[in-house]
Amino acid sequence: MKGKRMLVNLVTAVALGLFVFANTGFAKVLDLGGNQMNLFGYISQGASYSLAGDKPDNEEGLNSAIFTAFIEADYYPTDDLKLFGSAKFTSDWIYALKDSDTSWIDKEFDRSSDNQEFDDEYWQMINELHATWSTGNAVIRVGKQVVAWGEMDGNRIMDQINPLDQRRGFADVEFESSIIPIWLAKAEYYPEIDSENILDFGIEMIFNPNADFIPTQQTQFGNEEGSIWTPNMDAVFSPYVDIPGPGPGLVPEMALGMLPPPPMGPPPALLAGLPREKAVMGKQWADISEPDEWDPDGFEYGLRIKTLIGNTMFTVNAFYGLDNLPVTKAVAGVLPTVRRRADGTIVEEPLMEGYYPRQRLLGLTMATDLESLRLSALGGVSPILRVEAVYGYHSAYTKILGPVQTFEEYNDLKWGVGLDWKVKIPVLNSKNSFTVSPQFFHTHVFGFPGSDAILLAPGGTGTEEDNFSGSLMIGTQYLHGKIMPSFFILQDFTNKAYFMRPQIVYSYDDNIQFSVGAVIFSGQEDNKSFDLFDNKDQVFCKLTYKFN
Amino acid sequence: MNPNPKIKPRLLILCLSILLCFAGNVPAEEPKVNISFAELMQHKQVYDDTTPIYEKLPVKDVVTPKVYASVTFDATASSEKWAQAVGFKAPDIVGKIAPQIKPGEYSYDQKESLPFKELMIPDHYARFAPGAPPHIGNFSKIKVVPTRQYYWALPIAKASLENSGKTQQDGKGYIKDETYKGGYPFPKPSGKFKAIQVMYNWEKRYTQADNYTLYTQSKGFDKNLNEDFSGLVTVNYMRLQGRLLSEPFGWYDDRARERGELTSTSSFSEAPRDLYGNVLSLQSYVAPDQDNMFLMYINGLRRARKLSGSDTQDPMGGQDLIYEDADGFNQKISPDRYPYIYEVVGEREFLIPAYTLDGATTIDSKTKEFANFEFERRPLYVLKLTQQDENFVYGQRTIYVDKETFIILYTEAYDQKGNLYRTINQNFAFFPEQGMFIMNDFLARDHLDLHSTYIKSYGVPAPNLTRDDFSLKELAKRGK
Repeated sequence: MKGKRMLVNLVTAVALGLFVFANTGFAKVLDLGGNQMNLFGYISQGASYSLAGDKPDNEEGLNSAIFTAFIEADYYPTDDLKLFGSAKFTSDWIYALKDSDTSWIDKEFDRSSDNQEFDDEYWQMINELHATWSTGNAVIRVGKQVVAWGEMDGNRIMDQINPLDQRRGFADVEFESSIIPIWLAKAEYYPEIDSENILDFGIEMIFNPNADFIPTQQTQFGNEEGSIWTPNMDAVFSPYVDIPGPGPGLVPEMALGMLPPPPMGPPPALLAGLPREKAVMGKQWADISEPDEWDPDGFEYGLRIKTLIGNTMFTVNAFYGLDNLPVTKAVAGVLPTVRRRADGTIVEEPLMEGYYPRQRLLGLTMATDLESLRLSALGGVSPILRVEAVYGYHSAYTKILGPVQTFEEYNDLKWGVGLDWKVKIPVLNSKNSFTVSPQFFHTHVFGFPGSDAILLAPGGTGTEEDNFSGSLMIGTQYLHGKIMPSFFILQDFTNKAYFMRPQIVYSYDDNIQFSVGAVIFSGQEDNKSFDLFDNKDQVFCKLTYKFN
Repeated sequence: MNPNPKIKPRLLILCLSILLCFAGNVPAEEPKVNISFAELMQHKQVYDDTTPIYEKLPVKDVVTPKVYASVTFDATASSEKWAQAVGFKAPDIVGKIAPQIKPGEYSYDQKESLPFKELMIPDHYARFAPGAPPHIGNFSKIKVVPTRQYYWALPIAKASLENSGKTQQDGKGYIKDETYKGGYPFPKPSGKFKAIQVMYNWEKRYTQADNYTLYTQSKGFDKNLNEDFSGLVTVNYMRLQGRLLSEPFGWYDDRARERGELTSTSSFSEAPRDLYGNVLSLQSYVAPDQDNMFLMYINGLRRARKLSGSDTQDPMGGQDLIYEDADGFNQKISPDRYPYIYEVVGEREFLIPAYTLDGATTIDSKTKEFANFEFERRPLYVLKLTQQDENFVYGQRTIYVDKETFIILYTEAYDQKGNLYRTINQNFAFFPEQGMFIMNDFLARDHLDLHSTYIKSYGVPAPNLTRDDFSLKELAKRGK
């Protein structure tokens, strides 16, 4: 730990050095041997403050203090070859700041430092690293990269290639901190098209050689794993009864009848008088099988055809690979371990098993202008209609039917439709339009096993036969983009839950930026959807210095 | 795992084979433009640098001899033919207002003692002063140069002369585009549609030739004249209708003819970091009621997205101009969509910073004054455009157009309440051997939010640009 903190100091010194360079005319467009190199980066310091007060799954007051140093560079050895790389270092100062905080320690947040204090894996520090070669009608990019498919924002339907980093939750999510670049080869071919209607046409192929299997980094159960973002879920066998004296200790209420009668067991009168205590889901001791490096089991293949017909952009997408999230189930016949934390919270820690299931996806997207909705009174801008749909063949789910958990495969259809519409609201902003982006999503599971069953998608998301959700993003800008307020809400209609994020970004200039916002969660159905984050309401802020 | 091992080696071999096929299929291409921003910035800085960039880094040293030969013409023949087309040479028709102001250097403290007020656009007269907030671009010293004759390249001059009178207008002055054959459609604007004819000359303009690459450095300034934005953008431009300078001539291809395509533009942002790796592709059309087609590779999404082609009234990237302000006036001349009433409200000479031959202009880093700009007596049209749709961002625009070149040099835009909203100054580099004008200095000022945007450009002819350079492939190639 001491060594890591020294590392942080070192990185901070480097970042400050970069800051000084930036202020002393540090060159960002360099001429190296007659070829150009661009160099950029930023350092940022964020903080989040809980609005939910003192809860077992979060801290009162300051909850995080995330520092990021990021640098990126490109270099063109020739006109047709571009090398690009970016590196970042992320640390959460909260672990140092709360090093001796009793509440922090009793809730075991300090134990999550291995996961969240420093991002010190190579694939976290080397963000992107790739070469792009364009030759003739082809463009080839090889290396650690991001390949984003689809048209929807926020909810990934077709965009399944790169894993996500979800460990730090929903506050102030940025591209560099939420998408994980992986080792891929991408080849695009654009044949010459002699057509008055097909204006452009391209074929894109993706190959993932599984050089290193990097799955999505989920928010994890248990304060000692997921820290302040651990989902607040009731334990499967909650409530518990804490039986004093030598003996069984914490016992699920539902299992009291299985205790031996007195004198071997506790007297019924004693049991009846003991409080029933809620227990929460704790760390999952998971045995998730994943492919070894270069193991063909982890190879992935993607094919995408994209075309521009008239004023409409279409893509057809196929993907054969591994889900970035595992399907998991409790190990049959093994009861979870139960313990009481120092803060008094009872946590249930199940033993899980699972694997990263195969994805077989076929999808299409479309984006076009809706000129018929162009209204002069609203600013005269035609909205863009975006549509995306994907059919999953034999998608894996966890089926829970009573005490029995099994892995099953179902075909599913996910689709979404959205609009990007800029509208004038002169009363609120006389100089800039408001960008209004509503989206609607639907997932249907074919052959759903029935109302008695619970179906969990990879990652453990509860899934009904039909699942509906929607989102709305509204944003505008004032003073030449210096002040950018925005509001985002994601509504889970199926589970009657929502997440919202109002935010204001202030750019003093193109070097210094300050953002402040809040994340609010609510859910009407216990243990589902955003109800799991009901205690995570928080305000956040971030100061960023960019060197351009 | 649920492996299916048989299929994988085959797929892997297939993918690698296709990759190798691509790699082996490398057609020999002539480099499009042989310069980078890094090299360009070594030759010329925005601040305090009076280097005559077009002398120190002449176009002929940047492009191949073959390209240079293809874009240069007999200057004497060009100038004579153009004078024939427009019917005059500028030096012959100026010098009548305030003749006591002769070529030479003047300081702002002389502006009261000489009739500069009579000879200058009011805004320029006000800016003939030391640098001071809230906007950049004052002139504490000006250099008045003799009026020159400017002209367009010989093929443009010839086409304008030969096609003069062929472009037909309807009863309201809007042209029937099928009758436009190339060149400037109205080299001698006249009659009751004179104002709209001048604007059509601008719409069919040949600035930036048929194919060009522009390297632009932009700076933003707040009301205290502090720089708050610095950007680098490379722009590729290709004209698709009425091509006269680079093959293919006329329409670029059948697709352009059938679809009525006017221009293709792509831009690649290299700075600041937030914009780095954004690539924009824009297709504009001849038809006044047809929206442009916008495609953009968005760095933050790592995706190419379709944007609305009608999103033209919001400020572009925090700058002091909207899409419709690009090049001074970029709005389609339409009878239905945000139509104007076009009037000529003035036709006289002004002393104005119009053109540079060497690109030696610069900005004083301390005062944010413009320096080394050459003021020249130019014969101008003053046009008043009154907007007929109360929902448009501007209620009126006043446009100053050079009578000899049909280039817009200065514009004022007023909001729907009549408040001065934005002004734009354009200073072009003129290349005598090419008979061509390329944007050199662009200044946009917001008079409501008190902000300024300055763009310095360096232009290079790029006749070997093709549709590829504006395609999805370009987005994939250039995108972050």
